[in-house]
Amino acid sequence: MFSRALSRYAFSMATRRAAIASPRIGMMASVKSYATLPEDQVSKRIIDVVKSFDKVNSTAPITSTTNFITDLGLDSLDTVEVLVAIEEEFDIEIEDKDADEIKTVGQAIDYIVKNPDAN
Amino acid sequence: MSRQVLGLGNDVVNIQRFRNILVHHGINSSYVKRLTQRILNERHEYPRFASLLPKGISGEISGDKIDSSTLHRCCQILAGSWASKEALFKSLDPHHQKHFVFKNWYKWNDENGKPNIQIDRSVAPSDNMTEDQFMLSISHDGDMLIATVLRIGNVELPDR
Repeated sequence: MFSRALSRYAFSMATRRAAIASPRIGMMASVKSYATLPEDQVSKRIIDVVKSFDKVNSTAPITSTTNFITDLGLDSLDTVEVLVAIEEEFDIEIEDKDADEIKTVGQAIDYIVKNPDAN
Repeated sequence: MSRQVLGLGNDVVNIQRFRNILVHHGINSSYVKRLTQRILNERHEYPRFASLLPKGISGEISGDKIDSSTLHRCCQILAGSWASKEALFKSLDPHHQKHFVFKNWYKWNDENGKPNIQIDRSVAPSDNMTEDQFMLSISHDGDMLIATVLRIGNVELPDR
């Protein structure tokens, strides 16, 4: 578990930034949480993940209605990259059938808020 | 009942995009593992990819050092699988597209190097798309890779 947490720090830019902003997340990485996360925190972390993508203009506003493809201009491979980055950020696995339904930032937030395994 | 062409799909991808992902995150990172396991079939494709990853003394996957030709091979596997499945997806009806899962399908080459694509029945035993036949063609030029899939299947002929 410790090495998994370490590897997440090594490779997830968003996690690294979030850890600097909030030491709590560093501690949470090795303690399984069974409560769902507050929506405002989830929202901020997901928006940070999306903004960390080179193709996303970091100054453009990102809201819950932002669509990965039609608003951000991402293609299917970019979208998979975003979903995997969200998996890394919250230490969860998004099933393929659920991943297909996540097309907006708001849908990603909803999915994480409802997921008791999200850290 | 008649056998007909039911769909056609293609996809073009720049292999460089996969190189950027593997280099940016590290070839043995958890990010790359998650991404590749979302794209590649666990039984038929992922083992080939994993066999190229740098290994430690005891055989465990470790470190991020990889020579450029091995890295290129990793990227080719990913790009070939990705584009083939995107092309197959585009050849499907909207109803079947909803149930399409990348990792349930795998690309393989026969003894002549001819590419094929088919469903992994061990993970999708009841998928009714297995009735259809899919023909795959792939072409490269430098870092550009293009895949085309033709879908052939049975259609009911109307009563005359």
